[in-house]
Amino acid sequence: MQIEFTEFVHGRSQGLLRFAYLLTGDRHLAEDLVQEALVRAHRRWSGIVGEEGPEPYVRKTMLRQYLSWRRRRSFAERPIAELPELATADPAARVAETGAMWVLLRTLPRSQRAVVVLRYYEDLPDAEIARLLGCAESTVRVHAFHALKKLRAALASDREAAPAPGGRS
Amino acid sequence: MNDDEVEARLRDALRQFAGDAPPGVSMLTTVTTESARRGRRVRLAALASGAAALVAIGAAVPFALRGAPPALVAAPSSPASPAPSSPASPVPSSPARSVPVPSATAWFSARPATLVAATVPPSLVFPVSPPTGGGYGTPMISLTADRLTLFQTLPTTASVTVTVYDSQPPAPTARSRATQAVVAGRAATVYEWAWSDDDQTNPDSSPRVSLVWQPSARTWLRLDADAGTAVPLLIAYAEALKPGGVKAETPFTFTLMPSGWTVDDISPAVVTFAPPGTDPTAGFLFKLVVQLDEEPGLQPKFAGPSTAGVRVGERQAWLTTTPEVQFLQVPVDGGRSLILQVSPAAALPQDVLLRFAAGIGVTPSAQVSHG
Repeated sequence: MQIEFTEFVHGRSQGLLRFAYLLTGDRHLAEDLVQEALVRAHRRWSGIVGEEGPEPYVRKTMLRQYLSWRRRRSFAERPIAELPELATADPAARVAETGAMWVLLRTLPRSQRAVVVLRYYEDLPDAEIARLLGCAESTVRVHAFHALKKLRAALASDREAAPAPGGRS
Repeated sequence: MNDDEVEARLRDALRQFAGDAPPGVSMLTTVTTESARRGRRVRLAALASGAAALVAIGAAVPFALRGAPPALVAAPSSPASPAPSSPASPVPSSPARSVPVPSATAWFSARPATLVAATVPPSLVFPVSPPTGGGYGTPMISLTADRLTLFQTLPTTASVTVTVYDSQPPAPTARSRATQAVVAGRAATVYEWAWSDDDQTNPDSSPRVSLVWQPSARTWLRLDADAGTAVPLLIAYAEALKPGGVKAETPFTFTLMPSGWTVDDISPAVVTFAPPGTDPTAGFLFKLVVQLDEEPGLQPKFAGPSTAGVRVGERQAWLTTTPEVQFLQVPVDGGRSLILQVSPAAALPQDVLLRFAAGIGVTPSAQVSHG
């Protein structure tokens, strides 16, 4: 049976909000992103609830908006000019590094960040990511490569800068 | 650090921070209300050719609306009164097809329902009177997601929507920018906000503007304007709203309605009935929708393999059943027809649906629905 809009919103809005929050890094922007996508879905609901259900449409709409915000240069979230200093290189400070990783994610271009979220949070294969983003699989792999390279460099740089265990600070 | 380690850190970070996402508790109501707002201008243009059946009712109408339901609307029609104000004449008989309809759908497993005397108000009373003449458009009063609303175009061709609340309404969005203002000597709040920079209804990316104030002890009003509307214009419109109210006749009369159901949308062309447990929304989904169609209904508008001829009172009607929706088309006087659109969530046993339809009448103020 065809899924109904209320059922979809009740059942999927939390997942969509988590996805939006990871993309935007901002709770308010995440709400706006999901609301706008759902409004558009609501207005053409009967046309989008095909065999694969409405979620691909909603996610594509969210991604399109998210990426177009950048092009319009009116997105409230500003990129961080300088990479942030990581909290610590101490292996025991994994929690702190996780927080640092979150901050580092904000330094990525939006297309790279979208690929990172879809690949490492949603666990989608590159072919599905390419379909959602409307690009080639090779483009997805390039975005992922550059994102990982940048994150790895930032993490390695911080470890090298940190004092060795037992050393003077 | 190799890629595997970076990827592991990434997964950890994403999983951990996903838990900080906002809850979105009012998402459904927010979305359906905005969706209706975007569709309202299109529908108003279609309705503008007909009179809106608005009657000034004087200054005696109190502002207390939602806190005092009897003042919200005129008295409901008596269940014993004859229902149709425009009773349909029997349609010349035509061969009724008896084609089997799909089984295993909601229509055949609908829960038993009883019909009770309808409580649909014969009219809606908006608590303030909008300005008239001078380039102002004909106001349209409706019940939208169970809230009284008034829609009107301004001389500038911009449009405004006024919504009645019984307590202070929330900010339009979490990121709304609020500033203080004064409306007719009362404190007010101006909100500037945007759904997103990619809002298709906002091509110039100007912020939308809303104005909230409390004209009386038990009533709050929220005034929403098109993107780019100047705040002084909005305040001037708010101050042009006068006590006294206006009344709009409900487009249909109802003798019966399903027990426990609610009416959450009434416009000049449509009345919607929501089953128990359904949140008020501004749309047609999950409801039983009654609307007036421009076609006479002598032949079924939604003809298909699952269309069957049925009797609604003395009238020949057409019932089309698909897995997604059910349409009941009933001819009425004036060369029009009633169309009842039923969502699976609002499925009724067929005999109950036909008895419900038999009690519907069309008032002179009813407008043809265009969607």
